[in-house]
Amino acid sequence: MLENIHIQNFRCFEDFKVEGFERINLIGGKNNSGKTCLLEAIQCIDKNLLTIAQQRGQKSLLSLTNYDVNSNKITINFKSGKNYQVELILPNGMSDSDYERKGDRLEMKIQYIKNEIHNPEFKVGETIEKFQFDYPNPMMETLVELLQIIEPKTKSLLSHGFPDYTIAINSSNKQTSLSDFGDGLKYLLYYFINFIDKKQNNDSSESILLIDEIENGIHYTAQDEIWRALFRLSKELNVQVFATTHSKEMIEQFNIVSKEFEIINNEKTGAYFEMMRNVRTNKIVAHKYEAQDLEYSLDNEKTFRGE
Amino acid sequence: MNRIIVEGKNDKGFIEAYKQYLSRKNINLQFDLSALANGLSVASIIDELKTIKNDLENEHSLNIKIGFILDIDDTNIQGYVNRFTILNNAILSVFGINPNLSNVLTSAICEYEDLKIEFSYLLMQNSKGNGELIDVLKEIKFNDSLIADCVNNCFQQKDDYTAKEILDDWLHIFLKWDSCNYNERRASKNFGLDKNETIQKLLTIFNFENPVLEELRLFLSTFSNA
Repeated sequence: MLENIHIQNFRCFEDFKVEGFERINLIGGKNNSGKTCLLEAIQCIDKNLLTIAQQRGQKSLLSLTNYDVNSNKITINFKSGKNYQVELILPNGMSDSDYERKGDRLEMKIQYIKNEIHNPEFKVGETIEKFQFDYPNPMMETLVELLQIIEPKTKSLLSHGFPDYTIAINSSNKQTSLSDFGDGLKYLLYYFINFIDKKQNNDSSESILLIDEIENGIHYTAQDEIWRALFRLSKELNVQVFATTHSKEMIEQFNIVSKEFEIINNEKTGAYFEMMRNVRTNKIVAHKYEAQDLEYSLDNEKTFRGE
Repeated sequence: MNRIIVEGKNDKGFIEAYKQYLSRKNINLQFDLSALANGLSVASIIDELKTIKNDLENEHSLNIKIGFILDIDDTNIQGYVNRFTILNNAILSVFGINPNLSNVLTSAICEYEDLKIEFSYLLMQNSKGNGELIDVLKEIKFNDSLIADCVNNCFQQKDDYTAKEILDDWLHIFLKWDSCNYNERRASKNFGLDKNETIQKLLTIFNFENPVLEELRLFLSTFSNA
């Protein structure tokens, strides 16, 4: 499990540290406080930096460096029981082979879900189709359970192949195309397909799921159940989750579920991190809120989310 | 912005009223008030200090002051020692620095990251040495408090009636039933003591010139612009 990160001269970070990540990490803060950049930095565990630049349509690795730092060296240190460092010196390092990766390499599969999914149906349908062959199976049942959070009538999932992936709902087996559903259900499927895929393959290795703006398309009445599913599956399948949000309701529901799991399992599972710019130094910092700290701020209308 | 932490919403309303009173006398004070949400304890002070610590990221000034105004309750020497110990320990727990304060109206400047934070404490008590806000308020009120005292006496017959409830209820009843006329009571159904309209009322029903407030005035004046 990723415990700490120390980022220097990457995107908006000059010199940025976060310590004490838990299994489920929710990250809040104003716009331009570095939430998405933190997810990108975590991606560096298994992706090369050019790929990360290209995610934003950027072609130059120089776009990854911080404008305020007079250095052409990007350094990201990860701590996960052992230490691992990604270092890139620009402008020479223009390909993955030019990176220097120091320490014990972290063998973690990173899945990044951006808030702009162009075609979630494709990924979801592809996975459903893959599971059709040995349906019914426990993984599919879990997926149906999850879908019932948003669409209680869901009974099963079927695929007629790309591009018309179909979800069959209600007892009369009426079939509805996935494309006819709202974004919330598509996003939900997209998040959890990553877990199901892992479970199907009996993959118990450590992995990380990064979700940008997790509240997208999710009605507030479903948020607590989504957190419960994320907390449960992340433990079962050894997946560490980092999600960003702007939504107060999402943070409130996160905190309720986080406390529930802490009581049930007698261990800390979730933490909220607030990112903001220090007005004196203009550097980005992160504050960790344990469940009781977040509850205090929420109950007493204290500032959070970088306000 | 400087910050003063008080024990509860009643204290917050009263100190805010006094701040406005001093402002009318051209004594301009610079501080925000916050009240402990869960009563006086190390844990409660730590909760509040953690939110202040996070707020420091938005603090432009390199020099800030954090003050505490608490009821002393137990006015013997051990009462003082207990209060100072609670405050010193809570600050140490959150900021990793110990102001080691052991007297009111003194302060300690501690370095925290790039900031200099000046900590100071005040323990409230009236002229007879009783250390509750209610004791001070009863001493500085302009009007009789017949109804508030009467109801309070009745409530005190109940075994499970806490000191905090006594203060809350006395002040609310005094404010509403001893100090407001019929129209005022109708106009303001909710007398939350941190609400501005209530603060304005407090300014008319208490004598803020009473000498018992001298120590409080001296303490607050250290949070002035000058």
